[in-house]
Amino acid sequence: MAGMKTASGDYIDSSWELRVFVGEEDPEAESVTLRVTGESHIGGVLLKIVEQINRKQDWSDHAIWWEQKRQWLLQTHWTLDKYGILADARLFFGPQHRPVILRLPNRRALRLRASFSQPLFQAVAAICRLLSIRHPEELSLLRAPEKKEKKKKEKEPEEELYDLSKVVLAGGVAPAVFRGMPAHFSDSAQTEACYHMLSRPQPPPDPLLLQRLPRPSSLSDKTQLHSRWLDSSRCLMQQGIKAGDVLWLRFKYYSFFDLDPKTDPVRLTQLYEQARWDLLLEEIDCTEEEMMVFAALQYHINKLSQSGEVGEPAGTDPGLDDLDAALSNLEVKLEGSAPTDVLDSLTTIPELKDYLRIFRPRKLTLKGYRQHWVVFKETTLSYYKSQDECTGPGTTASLPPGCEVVPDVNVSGQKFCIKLLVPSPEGMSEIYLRCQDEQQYARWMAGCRLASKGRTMADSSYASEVQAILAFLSLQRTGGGGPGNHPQGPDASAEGLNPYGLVAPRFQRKFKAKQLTPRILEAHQNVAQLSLAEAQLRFIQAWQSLPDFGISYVMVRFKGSRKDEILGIANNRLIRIDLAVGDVVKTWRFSNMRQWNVNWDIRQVAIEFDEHINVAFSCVSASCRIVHEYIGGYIFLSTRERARGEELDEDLFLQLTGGHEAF
Amino acid sequence: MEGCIWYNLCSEMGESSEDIDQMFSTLLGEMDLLTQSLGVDTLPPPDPNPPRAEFNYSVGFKDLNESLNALEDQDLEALMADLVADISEAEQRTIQAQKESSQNQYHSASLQASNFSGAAPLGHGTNVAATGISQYEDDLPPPPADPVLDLPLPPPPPEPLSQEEEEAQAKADKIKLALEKLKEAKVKKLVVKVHMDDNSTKSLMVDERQLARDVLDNLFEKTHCDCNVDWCLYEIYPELQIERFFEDHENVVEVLSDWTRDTENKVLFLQKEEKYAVFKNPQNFYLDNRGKKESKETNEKMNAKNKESLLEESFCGTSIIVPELEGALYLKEDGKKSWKRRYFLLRASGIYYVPKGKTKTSRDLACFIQFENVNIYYGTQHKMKYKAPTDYCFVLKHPQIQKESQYIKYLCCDDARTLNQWVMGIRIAKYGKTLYDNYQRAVAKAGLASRWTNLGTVNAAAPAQPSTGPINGTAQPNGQMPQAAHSVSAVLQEAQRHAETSKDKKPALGNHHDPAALRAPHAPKSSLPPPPPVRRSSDTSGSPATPPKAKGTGGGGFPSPPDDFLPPPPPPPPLEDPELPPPPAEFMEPPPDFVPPPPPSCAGNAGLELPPPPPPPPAPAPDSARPSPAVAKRPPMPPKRHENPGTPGGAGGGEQDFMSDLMKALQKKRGNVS
Repeated sequence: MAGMKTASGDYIDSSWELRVFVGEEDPEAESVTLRVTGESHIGGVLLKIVEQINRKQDWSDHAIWWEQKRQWLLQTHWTLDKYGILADARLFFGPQHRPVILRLPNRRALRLRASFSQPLFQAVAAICRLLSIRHPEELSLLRAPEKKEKKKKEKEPEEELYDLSKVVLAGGVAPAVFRGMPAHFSDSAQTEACYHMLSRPQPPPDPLLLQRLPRPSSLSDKTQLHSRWLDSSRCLMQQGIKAGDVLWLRFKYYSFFDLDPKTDPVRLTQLYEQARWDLLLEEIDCTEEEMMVFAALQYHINKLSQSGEVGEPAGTDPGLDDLDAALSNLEVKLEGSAPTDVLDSLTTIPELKDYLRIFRPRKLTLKGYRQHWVVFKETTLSYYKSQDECTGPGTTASLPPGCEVVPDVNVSGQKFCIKLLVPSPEGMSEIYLRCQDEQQYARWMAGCRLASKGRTMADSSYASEVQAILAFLSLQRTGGGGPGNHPQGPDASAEGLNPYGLVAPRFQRKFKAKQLTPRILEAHQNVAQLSLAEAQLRFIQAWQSLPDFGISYVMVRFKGSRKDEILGIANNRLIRIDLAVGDVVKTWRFSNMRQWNVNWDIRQVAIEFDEHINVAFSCVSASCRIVHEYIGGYIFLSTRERARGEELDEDLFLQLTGGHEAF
Repeated sequence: MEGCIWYNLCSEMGESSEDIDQMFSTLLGEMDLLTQSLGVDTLPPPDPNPPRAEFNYSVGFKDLNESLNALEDQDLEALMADLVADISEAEQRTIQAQKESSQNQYHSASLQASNFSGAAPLGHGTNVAATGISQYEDDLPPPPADPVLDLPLPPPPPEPLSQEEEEAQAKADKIKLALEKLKEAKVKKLVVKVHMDDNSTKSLMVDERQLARDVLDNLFEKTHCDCNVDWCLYEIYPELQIERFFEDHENVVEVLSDWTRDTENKVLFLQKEEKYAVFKNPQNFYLDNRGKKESKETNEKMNAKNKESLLEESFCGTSIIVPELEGALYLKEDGKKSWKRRYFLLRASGIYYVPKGKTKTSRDLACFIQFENVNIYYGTQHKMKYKAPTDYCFVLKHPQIQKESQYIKYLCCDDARTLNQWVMGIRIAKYGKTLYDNYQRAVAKAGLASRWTNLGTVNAAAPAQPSTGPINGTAQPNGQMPQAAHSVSAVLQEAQRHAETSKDKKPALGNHHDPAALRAPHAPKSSLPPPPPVRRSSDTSGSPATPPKAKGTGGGGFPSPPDDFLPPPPPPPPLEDPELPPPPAEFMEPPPDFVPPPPPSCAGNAGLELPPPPPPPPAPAPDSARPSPAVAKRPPMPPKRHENPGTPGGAGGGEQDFMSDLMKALQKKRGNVS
């Protein structure tokens, strides 16, 4: 090293001592001291550090973090001078990937290693690749809400923490599929379980828990969530996240591209879970009727996913096995005979015959229920005074597709009625059938339901329909809020079937479980045929159809206005909403937007629309960076359509969502 | 409904004959036989409101006869023609396939033309072909040429298939046909009388698998209207004073089967621009009402690109977007004549209202109705009938309800704009993306049709030819040849112009019986010299006067059915028959066109005889009936009528002889005329 020698015999040159701490940001971390010059390259410094530590270890993931500047020194060919590093810099030599705990959309916790040095956008993309979720641009990370310490102490149920931190993905290669799951999940039983957690819907939550969880009570509450989004153009380290922190992974942009149940089971499931929790926690409002459909879909999805998971009918009722057997027999029979004699298939349609009590309300009549011998064949009900007379022409009522079948059941009161509303040219005629017990009720009810959908009891769904009705009846018997006594539920699913776990808490307050059950059952008949993926998709679609779907709320103050208002950001528009009343004041569509600017100094977003409409507002509840990112993100997502494929134009995204680094 | 018959089409005629001549003589022989047995014509009294169950499937033999006789003359003819069309079409195709090679230079021009038109759609055409053929299949081996024929279009330069290829294809098809055979045997058909916008009617055969779209296509062929997307099948309930369009994907027979037998309900064929208004101006539905301060003017105009992206956004996502719609409407109270004003909101899941004293947040809304089991109708003149506050009413009811009932919901809007928004919004909520798919099919159809029409006009008299089937074909090629050359290049231009002109026409809203103007104006307006001749009109109007002679002249290939049925026509002369290029299946025009070909000799002058294309007087059918008063007289009421029309057992016998009955009846009436 060229230099000069001082009088005391020391060499003087341009070198100086640089102290680097090894490990993550930790004041007591061991440190090494190197002698460097301003011309030293980062790469050389790294080499020296490793030499000094003199420990055999894979250092490839390590890099230097400059604490004061909150910056990673990733450009190994840059010199210290170029970075502007002097001897007083606090540098940490630590891993770029660190474990975090992700709270998934399904509320499960998962430990994995995330990149602390790449922009969040890339880090999320890597996480999504690990979890095999396509279109990572739709997701992002939120800070976990601060916990209220006092309550947490009371009871923190030990929850299962899934761990994927050991799994390493080869870069750039599409994950291969092995045994029905991406290959990297099939390494161990643990990771396999993790994949199941990711790709299968979770059972309904405990209703009590549901009531305890915080719910937004007003629009301004709904803005809270959106203040916690992390910046996608900066890395986790820069945003103050530490190893082991809890982060939420959520779908941020409500514009789901190319949702395909076949290729994205995890994405579909997590989306379903997010939608479900949105509804259960009243993040999005829906009507009673809509809630019943959502509940029915959840019930159905849960049932399917439970049965799929068990694989073998371990804990199921033997009675149900018989039904299954009967069902498969029936199917075989039908299949066998179908091609040969379609015309004769009429005769193979099963029929129901029994004594039932019938009531047909008419004006000016006091007659109540009368006992009749009733024959239900195809889609026609015929009834006679007694079994002996059934050869003659009785009274018939055909149940055409579209007739309404309404259950009127009270299990504890042993009331099993079916109310039929049969359309006729003159209007609807009502028929009440009263059954003696659950079994009879389930069979007749299932027949009526199929008839109302234009099918007969020969339909392969008959047995499962009967089964579903019985299951619901048993629910009603046990149902009553709260877990606990479930006489016939050896498996965990029975507990999950509490109807209160399927609806938002406000419906828990509004209805008793036994009122809820028949309504859910009623809605269930329309979805009972769906497969798991179809049902999830249907759920997501119904969620998307809600008028308030996909709106992220931010509290803002418009220029020239003296009160706070809400800005709703959706995938195609901005909505100005009155804070107090919740009325939409004004809508602007992105398609009319010319440009938007952020004035980082005064924290104001200014947007120009066609026809010289200008809007400006400052952000109150969240940083204007979040609003800016939302707008840019949606613009980015809308460009996807044309691009096709899964290649992400990351630069474009960062360009649209990134801001001034001055900020 | 008037003239509505269920029957199974099942012909036993083909039994022994593989060749067409033979088949025809068999057919005619049977007709003779039957004429005698059908001595007493009876008109059944309208069955007062038969129970639905009975009406449901097939009617017995007796009733068949009766309902047959109940048909008016022109209906019979049309029906007959339809039936025969199925048959002769298959025959013609067979022959044609064999002949194609010989024709091809001769007709290259016309072929070109047919290609143009034909690229189309064909769901319907193929369907018909398949039906017709498979009916033969019951007894006959499949004609070898069938496979070729099932294709909507023959390849432009018709390459005759080699024998082996044909056989191989035939074999493959045979299997397919065999599989369909059973199904086919059970296919129900319905004769539907469709009221045109000029007060005439047409009788159509609709089979139970046909969707409204297929029926529309069929009507397009029959009427030569401009096929634009506004054409619709429209049902009206005079008793309830309600009406609505058939959605294109709806099964027509299913809808009609909800009608009672004595119903006054009618099916209309007319243009309604409301049908697909949302796709033409989505902004009026999607951007309206958002933000009250928004002025209406900004909504009125929107460029095409924005419209497209708005539609894509609304209809092409994972789930469709239902327009946000809310506002005060009047609701007729159950069973009363009073109307109450309530605040309603449309959501994908149904219509909701704000209960008294509540806010319009989701959690407070009360469900008014969901759409699964109801259809939406426009109410007409409910101001008079129900004392509605305005005449802008819509009605929701279960399709089966035919009489006044407390289960029918009546709502009334302040103005027409609101009414249209609600009706469209409800349709979007109810049908979802299907509506958009329907629209796109309609546009495809209209686009092709307009190109076709223009091609036709350029080609002077030629245009209708390829679609009209073999008979006309014999006549046409000569006239067509010279002009054909430049047609192609002209087409696009014309299409454009055409599209513009047709856009301008805004049929008056709500007048379904409106003047022929609706249909007729198309051709003249397009400002192209000769509009496509509406052959049927000119043709049939002439024929009744000279029924027996018509066949001799050939009449430009438009012999009315009588000519063809009375005397057994000569078999189609094979090679020298200047057959036209195979009719594109989709243009198949059942009634008069598919009757067996007239003697080829008339071919030459036919072109000349073609009437100049006047603004086509529509609906030929009635014309043909009018001149013959003898026919108009209805037979006496039926003396006896004991059979239960519903018993399926009765149907078996009836179905079999249906064809011959029909012919016989027809012939008999003819006999009266001549």
